[in-house]
Amino acid sequence: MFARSSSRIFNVINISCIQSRSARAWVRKPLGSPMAKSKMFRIAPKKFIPADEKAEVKRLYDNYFHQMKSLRQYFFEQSLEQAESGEVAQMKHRLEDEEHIRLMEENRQENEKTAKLREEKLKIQAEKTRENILASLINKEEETRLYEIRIEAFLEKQKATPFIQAENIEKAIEEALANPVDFNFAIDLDGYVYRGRETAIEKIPEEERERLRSN
Amino acid sequence: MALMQKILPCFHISSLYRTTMFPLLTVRHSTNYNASLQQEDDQPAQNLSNPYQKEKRCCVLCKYDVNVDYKNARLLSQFLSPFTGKVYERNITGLCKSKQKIVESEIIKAQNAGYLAIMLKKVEYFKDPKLCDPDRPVRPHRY
Amino acid sequence: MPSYELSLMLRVLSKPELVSSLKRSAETIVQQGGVLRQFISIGTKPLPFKIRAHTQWHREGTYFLMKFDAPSSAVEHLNDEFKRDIDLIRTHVVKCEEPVKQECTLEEELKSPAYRKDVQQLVEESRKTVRKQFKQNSPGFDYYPFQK
Repeated sequence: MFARSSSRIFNVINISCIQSRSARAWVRKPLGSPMAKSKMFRIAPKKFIPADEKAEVKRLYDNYFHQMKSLRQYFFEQSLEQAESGEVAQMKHRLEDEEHIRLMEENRQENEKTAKLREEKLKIQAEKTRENILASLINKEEETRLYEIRIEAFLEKQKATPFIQAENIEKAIEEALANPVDFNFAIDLDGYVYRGRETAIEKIPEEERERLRSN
Repeated sequence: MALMQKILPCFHISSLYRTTMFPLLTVRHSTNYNASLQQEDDQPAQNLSNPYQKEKRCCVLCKYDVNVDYKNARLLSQFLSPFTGKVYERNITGLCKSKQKIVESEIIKAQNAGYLAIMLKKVEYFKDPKLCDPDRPVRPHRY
Repeated sequence: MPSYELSLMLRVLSKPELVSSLKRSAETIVQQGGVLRQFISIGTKPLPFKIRAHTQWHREGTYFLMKFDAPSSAVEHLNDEFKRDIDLIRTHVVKCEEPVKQECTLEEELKSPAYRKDVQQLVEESRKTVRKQFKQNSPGFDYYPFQK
């Protein structure tokens, strides 16, 4: 019930079978349960080691570890020395140096090659940009020329259209008021136009009707 | 008689579904005649245009090249419903897409400038010639 | 400078008052750097609907048109100026543009949808998108293994 792990139960049962006569499995005391009443006021006896014995044990312990440490250091240093000065190590170093020199040479050659390519590319690019700039300059010149022509044409048109001067405003207003205009007209499906805002269609005789030209 | 002579050349059938069979047929005869003169055999003429081709339909405003102006409330109200005072849709007015758009925008302009009433068609304009019939839409409508 | 058309709706005034009022609004255009081109009078008419302006109801008004060229930045100022003018009921500035000539597309529009170019384009566009198709849970061989 309390023990969930099956392996633990298995172990515990074995022990409990030896220790207790009952067939009941050994069960751990629940977490919150209090101390047993019989053990409530029991004071466990303190462990006592005599001072000189303690000092002796400590000395032996320290000695052992110092010796071991120095030995380990010695062997380590010796192995390092052998790796540097051994025949195999020498050969390895030589090969590494050769490889390094070869790689450096290769790198230099590659750099030279790319530098050449880059120079060519930059040259072409510079030529291209120069051409582009020239073309754009010519284009801009042409555009400004056309723009000026357009502006001149616009200004001429503006000047040609009649306008009302500040002194003539009153006169123009009176002139306009004297001649009112009617924008209203109705059309027919046959293209007849009936001008005027409130002119009845029947009032216009058929002969006088205006007709639009069909496209 | 003089009046008839005046009107006859510009006489035009308003129906949208008119065919141009007759003028084209005359053309066909003439080509046949020419061909027979040249080749002197009775081979059928080649490359004839379709004699049953219908005439291209055109909306009223495009046909007569009418300028739609926002100050012209009378023309604009010809496209309004007398019941609701709203613009008829394209399927009823029979206008092309661009002209319908122009008419609608001009109506809004006229309403803003105070030339045309909103949701009202003036009684004076009720007797104007009808350009569209809501009972006979050009294309079937949704309702 | 684009050309504009100003449509003025004035309250009913006597003629000298009307002229002075119109002159005032014309001068505001000139002050804003505009060039006056043409004046057109439409006349006094009943309004299409009653309009309230400057604490008064108006049922009749005088219509007047002014055609002018002005920088586009001036229009906002003009509107602001006219709003404060007591004689003006309503103003409307419209940009004058030359109408673009177009071929009538009614014939194309009256075709049935299958023959219309825009519908055909739509169909083509829809065909481009790959839709997920339902895979039938078939046994994987040509014949049906069970009795029918």
